[in-house]
Amino acid sequence: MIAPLVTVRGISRTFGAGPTAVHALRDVSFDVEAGRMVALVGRSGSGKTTLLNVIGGLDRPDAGSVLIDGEEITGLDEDGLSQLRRDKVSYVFQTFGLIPVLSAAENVGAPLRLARTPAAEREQRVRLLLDLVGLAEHAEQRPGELSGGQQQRVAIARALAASPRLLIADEPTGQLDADTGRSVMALLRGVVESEGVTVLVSTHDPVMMALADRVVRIGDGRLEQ
Amino acid sequence: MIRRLLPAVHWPSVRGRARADAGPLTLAAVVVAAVTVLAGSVPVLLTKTADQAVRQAVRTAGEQADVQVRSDWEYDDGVSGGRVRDPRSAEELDSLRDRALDQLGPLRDQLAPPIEFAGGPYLKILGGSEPRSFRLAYVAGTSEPAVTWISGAAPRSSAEQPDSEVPYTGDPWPVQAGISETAAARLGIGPGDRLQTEDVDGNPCDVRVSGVFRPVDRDDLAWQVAPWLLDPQPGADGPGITRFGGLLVAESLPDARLAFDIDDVSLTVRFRPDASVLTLDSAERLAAAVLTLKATSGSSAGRGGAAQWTTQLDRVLRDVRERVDAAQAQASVLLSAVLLVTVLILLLAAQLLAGRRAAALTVARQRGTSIVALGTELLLESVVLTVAATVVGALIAWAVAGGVAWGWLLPAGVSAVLAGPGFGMVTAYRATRDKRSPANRSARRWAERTGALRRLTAELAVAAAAAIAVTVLHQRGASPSAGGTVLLPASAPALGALTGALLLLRLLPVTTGLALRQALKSTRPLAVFGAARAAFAARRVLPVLALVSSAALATFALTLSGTVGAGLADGAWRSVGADARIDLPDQPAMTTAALIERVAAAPGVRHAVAAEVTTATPVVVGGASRQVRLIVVDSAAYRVLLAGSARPPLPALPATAGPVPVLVHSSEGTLRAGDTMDLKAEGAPAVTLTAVATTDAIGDTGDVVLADAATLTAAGVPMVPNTIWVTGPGAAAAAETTAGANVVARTDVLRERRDAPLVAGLIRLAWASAFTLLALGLLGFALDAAAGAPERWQTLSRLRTLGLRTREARRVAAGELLPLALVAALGGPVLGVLLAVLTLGPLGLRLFTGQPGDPALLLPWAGVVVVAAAFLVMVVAVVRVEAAVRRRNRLSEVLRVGGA
Ligand SMILES: Nc1ncnc2c1ncn2[C@@H]1O[C@H](COP(=O)(O)OP(=O)(O)OP(=O)(O)O)[C@@H](O)[C@H]1O
Ligand SMILES: [Mg+2]
Repeated sequence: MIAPLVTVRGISRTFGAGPTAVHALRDVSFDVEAGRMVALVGRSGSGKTTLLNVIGGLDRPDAGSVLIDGEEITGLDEDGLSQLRRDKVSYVFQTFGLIPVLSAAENVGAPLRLARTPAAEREQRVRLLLDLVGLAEHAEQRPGELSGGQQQRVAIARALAASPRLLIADEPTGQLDADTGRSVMALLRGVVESEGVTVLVSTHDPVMMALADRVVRIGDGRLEQ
Repeated sequence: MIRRLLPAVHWPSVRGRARADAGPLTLAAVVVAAVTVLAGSVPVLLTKTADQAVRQAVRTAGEQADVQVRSDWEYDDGVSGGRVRDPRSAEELDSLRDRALDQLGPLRDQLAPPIEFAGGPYLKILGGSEPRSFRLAYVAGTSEPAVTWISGAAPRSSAEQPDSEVPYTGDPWPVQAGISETAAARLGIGPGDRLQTEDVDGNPCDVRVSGVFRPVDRDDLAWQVAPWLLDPQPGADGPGITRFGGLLVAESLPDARLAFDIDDVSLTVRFRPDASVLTLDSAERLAAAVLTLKATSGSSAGRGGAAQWTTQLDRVLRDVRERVDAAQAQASVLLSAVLLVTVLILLLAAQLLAGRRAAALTVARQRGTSIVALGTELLLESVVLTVAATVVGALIAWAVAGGVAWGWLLPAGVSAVLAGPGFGMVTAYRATRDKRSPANRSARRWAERTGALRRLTAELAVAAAAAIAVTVLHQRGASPSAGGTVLLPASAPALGALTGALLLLRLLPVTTGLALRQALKSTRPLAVFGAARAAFAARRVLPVLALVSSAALATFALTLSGTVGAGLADGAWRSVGADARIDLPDQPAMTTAALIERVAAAPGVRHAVAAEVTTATPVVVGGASRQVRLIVVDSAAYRVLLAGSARPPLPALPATAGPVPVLVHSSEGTLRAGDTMDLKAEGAPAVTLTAVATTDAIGDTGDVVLADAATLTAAGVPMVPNTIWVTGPGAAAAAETTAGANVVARTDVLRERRDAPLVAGLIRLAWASAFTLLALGLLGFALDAAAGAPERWQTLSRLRTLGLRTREARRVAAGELLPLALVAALGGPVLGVLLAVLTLGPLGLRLFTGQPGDPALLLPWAGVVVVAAAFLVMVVAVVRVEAAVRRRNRLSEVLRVGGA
């Protein structure tokens, strides 16, 4: 049995209070084994984004705990969370989240800069990653000069740059057409194999579910088995 | 009605937009209102200040500003070869007054009630140790000024018959006169006494004291024309001579005429301009009218009532006019500066607002609203806002100044009205037009090139306008009376600032690009993010123009006020010559040496040096005679005195044989080092002086020659000290306790000049402008920061998902804001000082500082530091405020779809 990379225990998250309170997550528990690609599936408003945010340390749960690589993250302070993001967790967003004023290469290199990776090593890794996502030609272009699919591939390259243990992707194909989305999915599937990274991805896409090692269903804030 | 005129206006959208952007709109309105207060009130206040300056000048000028009408008495030859006593002499004065009033017409409202004056010739009082003079005078306003006779009685006629004929030969005709209490005490005489007097030719005169009087009202205007009737006046008839007066009344005036030659008793009516109602305008009209009367009345007074008009009022006014013109020019310069920056800020605000509204405007376009309809809606909004703001501002201006000048409000008003609709329409157009750039590469390049060319043309046009403005300013000045429009030369600094800002705008992307390239290479992880954002932000045009112009012009305004301040200090020193000056009387109670010793021993006195200062001393230079101010002083002691002050040091005067070495200072450059000149001394051969050096340490206006006392004495011209210069913190006090009234304190002179209406007004305006400009600049910075905030924080949030710490995020934010702040903080002040160097000369600051030449430029270091620091502090403040505002926004929210 492989030790789980992510352990989610009894997570609850409620927005607001009183009669208007929204229970986005109710007592959610599950594990994600290292080196797997897990798809999180559910209807709109079911709590996918909320769950991914809590697991990635972008949001705090009201109750429960999240362990990543054995580290309890719900108790971390801001600096601890920053460190977590530098070292272990990276994100891919539906809206790509690239930095518009930096070139594709600089976007990919950004996490390495934050980690103070030496320049030569950084450049080499950026080249490698851009090759991996098939954008070697477009290294010097700004996000605004790239297509949506290309931008998302840059975002994936960037998410991989600092060699994280866990990659969280929230509907990464949400803004892409079906074909482009599928190629991005294939790319994600590929990096799980090549980089050994664990991927937790939310999606509506049946193809994506097919590519995943496992599918976790969520409905109205609860896991559906 | 309006609905039918503007069918396209969608009222709910207008209201909705206004409500959604209430904050920015209010801010723009506040700017318009604030600038309306300044630009609307300053011209009005300036006119009032000019009027005040005229009043003050007229008051200070005293009788120099009087309008005088003179006439000659009717011949009084009698049938038997004598002179006939004319009992109606006082009535002749009345009729002269009435005719003068007729001639003046409505102008008499500008004048105080006329004073009739008939005065006898200079008489010498015999006996006594000090030289004393005596003059008989008749004065009357609407009537003779009231007096109480404390002993004796009012003068009576000396003749038995009021119109008796008096032979030309014979004893001097007796005249009865009253003397004042103080005069009686000083002269030691009383009623019934005959005052021993003689005329300039030594002929005895028969003046009898009828009584001793006390004025009922010392402030009666009639006394003003002959104050010596009340109190003996030292120096009135020459140095050291005290003038006493004898009061004539209507009954004794005819006797005074008989006592002297017919033309020795003057017949004048004096009009003193009424300082309480005078304005610059009315004073100038008055002076012009009097000059016309003067020209038409001929050069000599007519016998028997033909009036001759004289006045020096025009000369008094010419000085005031010159100063008012200069003040007006300076005010125009400062207002142009404020208005330029206001317009830029309003444009910036409108641009940012259009950016904020981009989404809403796009939706409106997509719903089918035409660009024109959108423009109309936006115009409606801006007109309502601008009119409201202008009305509020104008009301405040009116409350402050008692009037509103509308001309200067135009630029701000027009840009406030048009900027919003303009930027809004452009935004709406851009949002919905076909966005693709031409696919054809050459077509694209062509489009780029025309864009660049258009920009270059605009920049060159601004630079050319600035160059022309500076040239015109140097040639003609910026005062309205120089003719032509004031606007172009007055906007020289503003246009110069704009030109400089455009230049910096060109340089900024190059610099930030360089910084980015540097940052990309650097190992410091944060540098690159700030630099990348900065390079991105540096391409925005309006913020750079607005901020650099505001910092530059604020510095310019501070330099102007600083230079005037320093110039005033320098001018006051030059006028006084030290911290305090004692003007020695001709017969001092103490020897000069003793006086100096006493003063020097007083607490707080550093130095005391005696000198002989004579104005208008004739010297012959290069064959031509010119008048100089000659200063004879112990040069060693004076050098020590100057060394202890902030003044420039005094060059050494070598003790050489031959010509006496002197130092010269010449405001017009007529005296130079190397010149030799001949000094004519009374009863001695001419002394040859040679100028060994020029010095800025001495001198007021005109030419000044400074010689060493010992050297000049050796050359045969001994020093007769008439001045003591005292320095030290206690100088004025010590001088006053030692020497009494004859003391001029530097701080008094300085305060008086600084508080003079035009000077005080100018300094206040410069400060107000500097403050407004800086405030506008900081507002522009805040606006720009607010506009960039969403993108900035989106980037920062994204970086934070990569592991950037909160603290580091703040540093990156600061890095983004810094270039704009830096270019304003550094470029602005440098540009401002440069503009001051370039344009302060023709603004005539010397007219306010009382210096011989234009004041030396003073860099207001503290002010420059404040201006520079303000922008840098703004960076910190903006980052802090933003961080506080956004602290609650969790990353989880910012990164949701559609968020951030
Ligand atoms: N900040 C918030 N305040 C209040 N309610 C919130 C907040 N964020 C999320 N919710 C609510 O929590 C529930 C779960 O939202 P969440 O965004 O996690 O759903 P989702 O599964 O990601 O939906 P989608 O597929 O549309 O992205 C929703 O009902 C949503 O309205
Ligand atoms: Mg979601």
